[in-house]
Amino acid sequence: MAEPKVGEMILYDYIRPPLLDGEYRLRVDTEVTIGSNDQPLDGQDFFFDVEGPRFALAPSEVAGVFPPRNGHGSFDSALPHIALGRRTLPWERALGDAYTAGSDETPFPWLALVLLETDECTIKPNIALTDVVPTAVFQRLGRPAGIRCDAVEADEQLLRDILPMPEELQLLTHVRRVNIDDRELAAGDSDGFFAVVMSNRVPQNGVTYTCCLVSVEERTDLLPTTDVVTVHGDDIFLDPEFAEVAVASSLSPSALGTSITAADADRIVRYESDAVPVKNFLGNVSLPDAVREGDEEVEVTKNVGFAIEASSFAKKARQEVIVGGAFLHPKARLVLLHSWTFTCEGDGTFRQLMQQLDVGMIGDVDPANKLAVTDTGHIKLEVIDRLGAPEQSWYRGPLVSQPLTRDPLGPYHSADQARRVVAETGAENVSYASAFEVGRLLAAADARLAQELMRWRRGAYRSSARQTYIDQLQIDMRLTAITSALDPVALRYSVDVLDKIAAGVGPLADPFGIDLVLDSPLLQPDLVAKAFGLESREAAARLLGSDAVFSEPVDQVEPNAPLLTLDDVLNDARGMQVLNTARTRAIENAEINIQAPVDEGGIG
Amino acid sequence: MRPPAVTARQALHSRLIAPDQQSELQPSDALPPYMESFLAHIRLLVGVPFEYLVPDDRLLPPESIRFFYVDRSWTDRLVDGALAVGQIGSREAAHFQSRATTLTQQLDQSERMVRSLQRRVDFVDAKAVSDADRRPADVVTGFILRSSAVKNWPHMDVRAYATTIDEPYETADPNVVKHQLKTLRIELLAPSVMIALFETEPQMVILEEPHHGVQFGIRRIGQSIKLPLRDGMGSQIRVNNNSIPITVPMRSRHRDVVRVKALRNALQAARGAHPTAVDQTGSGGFAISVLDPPWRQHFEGTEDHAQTGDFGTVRPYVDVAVAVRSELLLSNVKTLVEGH
Repeated sequence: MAEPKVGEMILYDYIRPPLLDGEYRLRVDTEVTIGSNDQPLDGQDFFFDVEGPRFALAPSEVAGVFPPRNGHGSFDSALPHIALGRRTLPWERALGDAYTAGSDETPFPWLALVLLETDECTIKPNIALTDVVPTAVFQRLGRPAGIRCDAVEADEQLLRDILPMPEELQLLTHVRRVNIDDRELAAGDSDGFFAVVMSNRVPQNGVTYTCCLVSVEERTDLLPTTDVVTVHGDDIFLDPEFAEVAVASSLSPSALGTSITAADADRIVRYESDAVPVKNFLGNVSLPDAVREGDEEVEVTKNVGFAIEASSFAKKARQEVIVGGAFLHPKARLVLLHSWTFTCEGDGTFRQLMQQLDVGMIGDVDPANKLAVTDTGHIKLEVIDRLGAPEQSWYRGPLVSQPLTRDPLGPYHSADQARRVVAETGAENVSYASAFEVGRLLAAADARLAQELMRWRRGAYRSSARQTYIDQLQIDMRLTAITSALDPVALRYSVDVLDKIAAGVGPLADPFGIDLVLDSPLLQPDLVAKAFGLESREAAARLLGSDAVFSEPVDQVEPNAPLLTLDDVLNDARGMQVLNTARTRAIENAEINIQAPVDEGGIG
Repeated sequence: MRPPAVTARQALHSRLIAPDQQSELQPSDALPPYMESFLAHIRLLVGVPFEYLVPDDRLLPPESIRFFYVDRSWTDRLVDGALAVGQIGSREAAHFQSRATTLTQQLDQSERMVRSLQRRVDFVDAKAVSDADRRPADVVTGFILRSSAVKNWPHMDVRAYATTIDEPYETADPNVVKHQLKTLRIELLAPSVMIALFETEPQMVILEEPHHGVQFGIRRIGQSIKLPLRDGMGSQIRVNNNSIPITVPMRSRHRDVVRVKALRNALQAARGAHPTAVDQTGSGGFAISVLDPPWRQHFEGTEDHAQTGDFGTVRPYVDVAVAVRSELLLSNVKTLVEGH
């Protein structure tokens, strides 16, 4: 199925549901043949129903109506129609046993849109189904029990005249697939398919109409089978007046059997004696018993035999027949699924409404409105300030009439930061401050957002803590390979260690541990002076030996080759020389310390 | 001062002993999807109370349309306000301060996905599309329409174009589509108020009658009712620039009821002379024949009151005359007079 392009639509004659609504039986049989013997397994029956709207239609199924609901406008050049959101709806039920279509034929819809003048019909809400449809139809509908539904009641003859024929129903119902890219949002219409049912009646100017979507399921008693008026199947009366008379003859017996009141019946038969051929024109109608037993009835039947084609058909008689026909108004009811009213008058089409729109930029106001709008689009608002005093402030919404530059002074942390005072008037401009508050209230109203905000912040704190630890790793563990928090630390660390092992030990900063020894607390004159309560650093220095902390650094020489064995160390003459020098210096130091007495103070 | 949620020491420890080095670290600093979508929505003023958009109803009288630019500073303040929720100390403020710029840039892109999200596209898919669009934020324009047409013709088509395009044109024509502006939002704010937002400044905006509600049009010519013959695309067939009228047959007893089947046969018969006419194979073909193409209302250019200057060249007199003749006013006055 091709997708409709932007602004296009595709029409389908019908979309047939896989299964019509109804009750189904599913039978499973398994044929088993052993050798040449059939030994079928037990079959099983399953029952299921396919259900859909039948005597009522949820308003949400209606996607749109034309002319608009309660609309006023010149709709006299358009056929009313209704769009249903469920594309298969018109074909989900069979119209009747007489109207079944093969799998490759167009199915008959069970819905019809009937346009009735508002005073031609009465809407009866919530009445029993048995009061809506004749007994025979109720029988054919399967005698559903306990159904109450809405109904529309109208003159039976009128319905017969304006209802479409079953073949017309086929033509009046189709499916549209529209492109939905440039629409406002609405729930339930996302697939772009609509079943459309049109009416066959054109609205006349100056009339208020009720448009009724009715179920015509099994209503073969009302649906006409021809739209050409005939009398006894022979003649076509093109003269409307004749047709008026003649139609009475097509009244079926069931039509009259229903609701003729005693008063009506009385009036039917109370004609002047000069030969009103009511009975004749009614064909083989059997009048209700009460009427038949009356004396006047006999008088009427006397006139049977009046020839239709009589050219001497008296005008007066004709009129009376018409009058008689008008008195004969049995009512018929149809199951009503949806209805709306509109009035066909004046202007009010889409085109007219659009062309009469008041077009302008925001802030354009009719001077008669006395609304002061500044050039910048601000208006004055009465507000109550924090101290409770009323004052006037300027306000402008987010919709402005000219492009504005974006405020670079963001972000703002409180509404007060966004308050401004207009220099000329001294009045406050609360536009942005109100925007801030609206945003805050909208967010605060949303519990989930508040949680997400907290999560967002916590995540940020966590990631900043991680950055700190990366810095620590880089410094303390010399793991320069770690650059991102996502790097696998253990892996990088192991690789780093292995790299070092493979490369061998590099030059050591303090190969003999001299720095380490010198760091020892007992060699720090300051510490010693403090610990032993000596008077000065110099006393401690003397105690430790004047060169206890070697005043000159010990020359550390790079060995020519790595010193891997004890022999290598002993053979390293230069290294041994340095060591010996250091040893000698240390011994000399110690000797000096032993000989020299402590002059000032003493060991307390 | 509160102890921090996570110290560096704890982070290091948990990091070193974590079996999965990638675990839960990744999304910790990213914008949570719900938050991103919320902020993108309010960027397009979704959920902002109507009084804040139109502070005085005289700014949007009945049956009017008002075009506008969206004030970015205003929407930025909205976002600032939303993020102020739970901002209780300097730490939160510092956090927001440091991220505001990136957040703004991110939302400039995210706001393009709002319409997809509103149409129930999955967040991930919508975000992929909007993130791929790396253009910087552009000016946002739109209109707000208050008319009974909004209520009575639901789902009208709304399009904005960067250039003016002369009728007739095909909306699906690639040359036309390339001028169409991105629609950021079309929504009803009330049953009869519609707001639409577009990216960049349009030269032409059209409102088109909803397609599923397109009416079935006929022409009343004197007493008879006629129908122009149409081809399979719904265009009128013209011979010497004249349409070919087909008389609509009516039922004899009710002159306002169309003999649908007979009309179909007449339309099919007309194919003999005009083979391009739509083939009457069923209700679809029939519907095309009787459809009126949807009315397309154009709004072009900008109205500049500064140049036209005075409002009152002729209008005041006309207004008064029209107002006096108005039936509604007349009947109101009558009621008043009779009532007292």
